[in-house]
This record gives sequence, structure tokens and C-alpha cells, in this order.
Amino acid sequence: MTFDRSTGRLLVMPAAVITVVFFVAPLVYFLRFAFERPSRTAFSEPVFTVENFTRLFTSPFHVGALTRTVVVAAAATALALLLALPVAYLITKASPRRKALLIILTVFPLLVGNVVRSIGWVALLGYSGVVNTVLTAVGILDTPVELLRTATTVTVAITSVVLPLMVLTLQASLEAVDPNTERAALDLGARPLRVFRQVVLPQIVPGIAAGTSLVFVLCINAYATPRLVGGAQVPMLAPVVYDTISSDNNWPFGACMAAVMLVVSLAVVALYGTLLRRQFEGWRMAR
Amino acid sequence: MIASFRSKEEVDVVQLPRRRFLKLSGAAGAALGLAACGGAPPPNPGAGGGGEAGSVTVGTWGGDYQKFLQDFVEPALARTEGAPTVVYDVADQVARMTKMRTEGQTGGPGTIDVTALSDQQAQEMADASLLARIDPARLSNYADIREDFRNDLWVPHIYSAGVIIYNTEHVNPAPTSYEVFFDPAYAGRIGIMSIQWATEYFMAAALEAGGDPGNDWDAGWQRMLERKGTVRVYESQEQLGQALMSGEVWLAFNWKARAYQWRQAGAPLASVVAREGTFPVVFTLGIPANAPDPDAAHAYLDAALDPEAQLRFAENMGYWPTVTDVDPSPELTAEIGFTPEEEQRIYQIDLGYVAQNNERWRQQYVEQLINQ
Repeated sequence: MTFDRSTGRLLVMPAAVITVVFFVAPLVYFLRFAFERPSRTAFSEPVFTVENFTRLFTSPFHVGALTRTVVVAAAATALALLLALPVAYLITKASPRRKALLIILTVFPLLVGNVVRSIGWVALLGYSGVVNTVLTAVGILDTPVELLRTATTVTVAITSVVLPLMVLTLQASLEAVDPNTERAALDLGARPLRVFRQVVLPQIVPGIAAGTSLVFVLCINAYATPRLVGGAQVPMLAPVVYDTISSDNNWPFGACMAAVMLVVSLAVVALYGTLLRRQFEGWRMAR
Repeated sequence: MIASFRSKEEVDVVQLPRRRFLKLSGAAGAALGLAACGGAPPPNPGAGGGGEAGSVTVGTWGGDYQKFLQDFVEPALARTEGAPTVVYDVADQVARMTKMRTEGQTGGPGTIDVTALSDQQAQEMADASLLARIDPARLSNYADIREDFRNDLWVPHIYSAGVIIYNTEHVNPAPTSYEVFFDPAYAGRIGIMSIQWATEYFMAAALEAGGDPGNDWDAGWQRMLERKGTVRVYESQEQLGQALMSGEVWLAFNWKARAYQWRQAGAPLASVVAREGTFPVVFTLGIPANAPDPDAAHAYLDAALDPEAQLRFAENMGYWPTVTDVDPSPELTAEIGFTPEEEQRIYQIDLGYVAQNNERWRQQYVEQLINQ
């Protein structure tokens, strides 16, 4: 079925209107606060200023939170990619029945909210959690140790949240790879790992770019996991934005941080996408 | 029955202006189960939305606090002539304040008739002209409110005061001073909360002053920085309570009602008012300036001050009544009350001073003390 251009526009219109009214407009409305002054009695004082940005980039705490957020997001994205690739590949190669089961198992964690999953990490790694209890019981530890509230734990926890999305994105991309190209490489004597690296991987670059970009944006905006697993001792930007607005009623500074987070997300994703495509294109051509 | 709490938000300091808040005489209390975050409106068949005739919309925390409002205040309200049905607008107080600000800026009628807030935040709302003045003539129980708690911008619903909470099995001898929070022997065994900073400021300042710190809560900041790395930080009262009950931490500065609740849960905890003194915490009920039904709101406030409702709150949540026509049992008094000697060390605090410095304190606290 095909549509002419005007019908196509008409069909897109509802989604476009909803997006503009319920996403773009509120976002613009909110971000304008970034250029205003905080007020104790209202959302903001409507005076144009860039003071919030000056404060943000001269505050070691906020620069640290921003840096930590980007680093944790990048690390979680890389970890998710590494862990998801073999799983996605396994799903692709499975029989139809097994594939359905594996996809259900992959999707299953998504049915549980981030908060619940984060609480699970707390139950696992908390002072009285499973890990400390077991390690103490078998004598490896004398007393329970602090496993939560570290950037490493937050990274691992965020990875667990985004892993299913990465698997599904990569699996969809892998499904599009013509199996004959792999068979040909194998017939020509290439080992499976080399086949994957030199034949399959270059073909799924768009999937990797999409998956990692999606996951990175989710990671950089993570709220519940850093809040619950890292707490205030591992400040990341989304919780800091919330606290600034909710506890301090400082909408302008919160909006400023949100704007910076948005720009950083877009910039990193755009830059990364460009570099990745160039790198793999060059790599593929060289082969 | 002991209250459990779902809230992640608990007000750090409650304060009435010095001129309004005379010394506490009587009782105790402690922290509030300020349940947070969403939750479906409670069952209230036939109740309409805010502003409908015959209904009163109460903006409140969820969890046990809301449950006790239903169990104890609603029956008192039902006894009044033409009693409105109650609709709850459940959210944490931050969301409620945001809603009030938003509705206030639109200029139209609001959706909340009664708003539950800490008095510090109620003061913020009053400063923003978002609270209506209460008409004492419409509250039959107004005359029974403790004189030092009376205020024409809100009614005091429950209150408590800060105490040193300690584990009796590990903290020996029993502490008497805030110095215990700086004792190297307890490094790593002291719990603080990221959402409650003014208590810590007060504590350090009182220690520095050797008593009432007045309006110089910054005096203890340098000393407080010495605690960096020696305290465990929690995000909510629930997390701190769990840590105290599991033995993860042995010491905390918190409301006496919290100590009561955790002790009732079986934890080997005790509490003491430090010799340097402490301050009260009050949770209030007020009427937004744009409340759809001020009459129904006044009826609800009056019901909240009902002596039976107040007593039941004390029994179930560890809060001392804010009205004088209640007679708690000696056992309850001993459990959650304060001795006359302790009452001498519960100081008035200047709500305006705290509100003015709160944002700066929070930033300093989070950025320099808590941040790793």
C-alpha cells in the first residue's frame, strides 16, 4: 500500500501535533528558565541572564556531577554493548521456538520498573544484603562492607537496566545480515571469530550505532538507579537537577543543568555516530 | 500498632517564628511518616473532585499518615453537620508545593482545599501568598490549641523534637552530648540523611555554642566538615531506620517519634535529648489561598484538632497532641514525651532564618560533606 504525499502528511500530523504540544512546547517552556533568575516565591524572576551557566561551569561539584554522568553513561553503554553482542548473536542463531523463548527472557526485565530493579540491587548489595550476608557467613568478610554508593556499582546497575534494549536493537540488526555471507566466509576457511569480526560486525554498524546511541541517552538521563543505588554520595546530573528544583525551588538552575545535559547528550551522540560510521566505513573498505 | 513509612521526603526542620513559638511544655513526638510519591486516590465512594460541593480535597502524604487521616480525622469530620466527603490528593510535599505555586500563578481556583506541609514549607507558601488566613471563629477546637502553637496561617497537626538515637548494645556509655557524633570510636557508625540537613546544622551549632545556637547555625559548619567520611548517608527515613535496626549504624540525630517507631519494631535503640538542647518539628495543615471550598477546609482542620483524633495519632505515630484537651496515658507519655527538664532544652527556632538559609545549607551539605 502506498500513499501520496498529502495523505502521508495527514497521517503524520497527529503524532507531530502530540509531539509538539506535549513534548517540544513544555521543553522549550522549561528551558527558558535557564536564562532567568531564581525566586523564592515563584518559579523564576523573568530577567535575562546567563548567571546559571556561569555558576554551573565554575562549580566543582556540578562539573564533577556532569563529568561523572558522562563517564558512567559511556562505561555503561560500552559494557552493555559487550554483554549484549553475544546474546543477540545467540538469539539470531537460535531455532524459531528457542528464539521466541530467548526474546521473552530478554524482554522480561523490562516489565519490571527501574525503581524495582534498583531496589533489587540494594537488596543484593546492601549492608544486610545477600552478598554481604553470604561473604560474612563463609568467613570471607569479618563485617559487611559498603558495596552500594560507588560509581562502579551505579555503572553496573545502569547497565543491567539498558541491557535488554541493547540486545533487542542488536538482534534486529543481526537478523538483517545475510547468513550466506557468513557461510561463504566459513567455506573459505575463516574461523568463526574472524567471520564475526570481519563479516558480521561491519554489517551491523548501523544497529550498533542505533543501540549505543539509544542506550547512552538513557544512561545519561538515568534517575532512579543513580538515586537509589548511588545516593547522594555518587551525584549524577538527573538527580541533581531534580533536587535543585524540588528542594531549592531553583527552577532556573535546574533548567540550566537540564539544557546542558540535553546539549551534551545530543553532541556526544552526533559526534559518536559520525565517528563510528567513518571508522567502520574505512575499516570495511580496507578489507 | 506502629506506623511504617513509605516516604522519601521528610522535612528537615520545622520551625515557628520565634515570636510565635514559645517553649514547648508537654510532650514529644517525632518524625513524620510522610509518605510520598503518587499513589491512587483513596477509596471515597461518591466523592467528587476538588471544589465540588460537599467535598474537601486534602493534599497530603500517602502511607500511614493518609491512613490515619482516614481512620482518625474522617470520623471526627463525619460528626459535623453537613460534613463534606474527603478526597485525597496524594503526593510528597515538594510536588504539592509545586502544584500550589503553579495553580497560584494561573490565577484561577485551585484544586486543593487543605494542604499538609511542614511549618517551614508552610511558611514558604505563606511568604508566597499562597496560604489563606484561617478564621479561628470557624474552628471549635481552636481554643484548645496550645497557645504557643497558634498561628493564623495554619493549624499545628503533629509535632516532635530532635533527639540522639543510639544503639544500646554498641554505644556505651549512653550519650548525653552531641559530642558523640564526633567521637572517632563511632566513625562509620553514624547515620545521616541527604534529605535532612538543618538538623545536622543545628546539632553542630548547638555543640559549638554549648546550648541554644540562636540564629547562628553556621557556627558548627567547620566542625561538621570533620565528619566527612565518617558518616553513612541515607536517602530517606526508611533507609536510615533500616540501617539503625540492622546495626549498620549505631547513632543518628532524628525525631523522637522515629526512635519510638524503630524501637517498637524491635531495635535495641534508645534516645536522649542532648545536654546542648534541641528544637521542635511541627507538621501543619493549612488552606491554600485559592482553595475551592474554604468552608469545607475549615471543617477538616477542626476535625484534625479533635482530641480523639489527636490522641489516636499520638498512639499510632508517636506524635504528641497539639491541643490541650487530650490526656495521654502515663505509659504513652513516658514513651514519647519529654520531661519538664528536657522541655527546658527544647528551643524555639526562627523559621524565617532557616527558610532564608535552607538552600545554601543544602548545597553546602550535599556538595562538601556528602559528596565523595
